[in-house]
Parts: sequence; C-alpha cells; structure tokens
Amino acid sequence: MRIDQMLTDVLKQELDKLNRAEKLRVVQMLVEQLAQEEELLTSHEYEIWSPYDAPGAAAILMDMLEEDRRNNG
Amino acid sequence: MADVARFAYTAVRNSLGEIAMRPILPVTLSYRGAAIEAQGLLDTGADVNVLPYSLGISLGGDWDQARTGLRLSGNLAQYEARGILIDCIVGSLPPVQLAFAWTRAENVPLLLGQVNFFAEFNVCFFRATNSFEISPKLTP
Repeated sequence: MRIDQMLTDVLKQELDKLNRAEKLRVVQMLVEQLAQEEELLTSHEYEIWSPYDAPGAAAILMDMLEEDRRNNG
Repeated sequence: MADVARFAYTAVRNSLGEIAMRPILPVTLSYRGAAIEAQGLLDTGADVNVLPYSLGISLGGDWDQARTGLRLSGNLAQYEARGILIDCIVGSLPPVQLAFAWTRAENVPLLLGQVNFFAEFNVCFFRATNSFEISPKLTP
C-alpha cells in the first residue's frame, strides 16, 4: 500500500472518530483555508442597490405625487 | 426647443479599487426650505428613486411622518423604506417634484429611477462618448 493511501486511510479513521461538532469545525477550517488560497472563493461580493422589481413601492410613490397634485395644484 | 443639459460620465472607484464609468448627475435637492447638493446615479433599472437615510435627515425629513408601506427589492429589501416628496433641480432646468423611496440604508447611493425621475425628464445616454443629456419632458 502506498504511503499517501495509508495516510489517507489513517486520516479518515481519525476523522470518523470525531463527533458532529468536531467534524463541522474541521470542514469550516478547511473551507477557510481553501478560501484564502483560491481567488475564486475570496472574491468579494458586489452590492446591487437597484430596486429592480419594486412595482408596489412605485405605485405608492405615484399615489403620493397624485395626491400632492390634487391638494396643491 | 426644450432646454437640454449635458453631463459627462464619472469615473467611480469601488472598494476593490476597480473603476467604472457611471452616469452620475449633480442635482440640488430641496425640502421645506433646506437645499443640498447631491450626486444621483441615473438608474434605468430602478423602479423608484431611492434616497439614503442620512441625506433625508440632512434635508430635514421627518422619518416618523413619512409615508409607510414601501417594500423595496434586492439588497434594499432588508431595510425599511418610506415615501417622501422632494423638489429637485438639474442644472438650469426648471425644478421638478420627485418622489423618493427613503430607505434606512446608509451606504446606498442616491438613485434616480423610473418613478419618477425618468417620468419627468427625457434622458439620452451617449456612452460611446461618455456623456448624457437631460431635458424636461415635453408637455402637450
């Protein structure tokens, strides 16, 4: 058996011994490590502020304008 | 012939240091005697105008008295929004009344959207030459 396969098997056996919380911590640690190494994972989110789909808000604003025109000419 | 105001696109650098050309319009917002110079992004995809919370407060807006019930979308959906009417002057064009969705969000830009900025002005984008033109809507 190759040494790297042996290490993998040993590692798997050790991981299997962990409880649920410990396994989650390992996963989290690995994800964080990968995120630091991979540009794709470390890329930032871009905020999109545009209210693209807000017809309800648009209708209320239209009502406000119409109401103001009625009251103030 | 209607008055036309012409403006240049603005190079904007985001938090990542990336630069984009944006149609940002200098406007004067006026509310009950208070006036503030501001920079509004012409956002043809926005259903409504959006006013950042701090700008509304600086204008003297009363959050508690503003119209409730507005629901926004996208990143703004998580913030409460209310309605407020504000006068707006673009260059030397006649002032118009704009209705804004006044959001509790602080870091949102001033957005000029379909209701009702684009209902009050005709806008032509000339992105190839980094400029845009604005004129009042034609009234019959």
